[in-house]
Amino acid sequence: MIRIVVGLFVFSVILCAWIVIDPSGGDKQPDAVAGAAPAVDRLGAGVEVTREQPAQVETFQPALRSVTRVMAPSSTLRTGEETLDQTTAGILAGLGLDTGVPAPAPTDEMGQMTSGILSSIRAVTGGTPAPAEPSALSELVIGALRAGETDATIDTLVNEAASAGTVAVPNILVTADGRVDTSVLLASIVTQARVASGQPAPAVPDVPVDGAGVEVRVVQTSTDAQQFRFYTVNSGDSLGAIAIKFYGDAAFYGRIFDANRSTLSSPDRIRVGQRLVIPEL
Amino acid sequence: MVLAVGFGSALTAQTVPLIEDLTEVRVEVNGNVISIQRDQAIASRYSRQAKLPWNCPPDCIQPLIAAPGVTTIAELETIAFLETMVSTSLGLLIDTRAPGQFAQGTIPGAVNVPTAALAPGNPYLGEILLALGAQTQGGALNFDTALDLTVFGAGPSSDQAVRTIDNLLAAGYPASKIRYYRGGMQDWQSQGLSLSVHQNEG
Repeated sequence: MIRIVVGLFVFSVILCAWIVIDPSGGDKQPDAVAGAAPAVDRLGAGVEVTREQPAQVETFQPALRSVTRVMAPSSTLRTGEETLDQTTAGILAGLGLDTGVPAPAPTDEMGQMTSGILSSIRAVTGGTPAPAEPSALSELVIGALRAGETDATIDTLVNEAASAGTVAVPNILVTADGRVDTSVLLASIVTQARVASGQPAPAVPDVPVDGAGVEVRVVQTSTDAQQFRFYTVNSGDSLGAIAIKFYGDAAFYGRIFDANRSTLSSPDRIRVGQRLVIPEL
Repeated sequence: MVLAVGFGSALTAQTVPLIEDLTEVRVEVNGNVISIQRDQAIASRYSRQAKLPWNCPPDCIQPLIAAPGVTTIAELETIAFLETMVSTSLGLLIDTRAPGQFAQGTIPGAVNVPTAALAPGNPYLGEILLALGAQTQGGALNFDTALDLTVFGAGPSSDQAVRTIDNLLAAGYPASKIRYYRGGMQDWQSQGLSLSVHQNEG
């Protein structure tokens, strides 16, 4: 009897000691700065937390550069000067819907100011972005939509025409494996048509932290914790599709392109395996 | 002359630096020391720049030349620029002041591009440069087809226009395509020249 009691006592002492010491350490950062703790907690599992000085943040860039330099350009599609917005506006105009605005209004202050500036510059210079006559790509898509073709058929038609060089495509539609991402084009048509008919622009989607290719890093500086999102390009991704994935609208592709200019020479040059910085909107 | 100096020094509490860290210039002429200072009370009688008090920076007296290669012009050249370049869509007259000031009255034909819009931190900088006629060429910007610009701000003691010119040059805009109307709104209005009001615009 005494042996059992002593045995239980010894076992409980060992158990208590194990709980207190907690050999795994969990995923708690005992020395985390109090202000940064909620942000880290919210990210949950699968999140890499790096606590580095701000100067070391820049070491990401050379590392990225060396990775992307190795990969050879593979794009063979003919890309044109026309942007996705212009193509979309051209298609909608061809279908009898005047979008009025060439692009959905950005939500941030700087973006709103910029779109005001752009429209006033264009008002003086007469350089409206909407194409005077529809491009070959617009005509092809208008014809297919009028004929009631399915998305899959439109995809085949556009890709055949693009690889034959008979149409030029906006460069953000070029996927990492050198095809035309028609789903982004069709999504952009729907978005602009919604905005033109007075419906709200698509909301910024919640991108799952553990989604394929998505990576979040929290860099702790002396003043605050800054969150960086990265996305590793998968086969079939275009810059437009990545902008839709993170921002809900292909029109924001420029934010991603600008943030990755050091490794991305042109929006149609994304590569499978390339790691892109995704800035906050 | 003596009276003016006395008046100026009596209000030393309201002196503003002429340029950064320079509040007074003393010169000896014929054995007499004369002092050049900058007085807000006097300035406000001649200037229409509404913002008071002035501080330098940013309200420093601007140099005649904004940057090497950039031509400084006055009212007649600005009007000629409107006649020859803006009317033919080859040029753009840029008001660098804040949208609120622009709305209250600007040079007719001017477009509002606030200084902040061309600052390197604006993620949309590239889009504005494209709207100004630059073209993308192999990932870089080519300014061969870019518009000629005349840039102005509130007046000779406002740094907005000069900062905008600096930002344009830093982005690669050729100096030969930029003109600096140093007098700005202050000189334009002091000559009684026409204004255009944009009260109802965003």
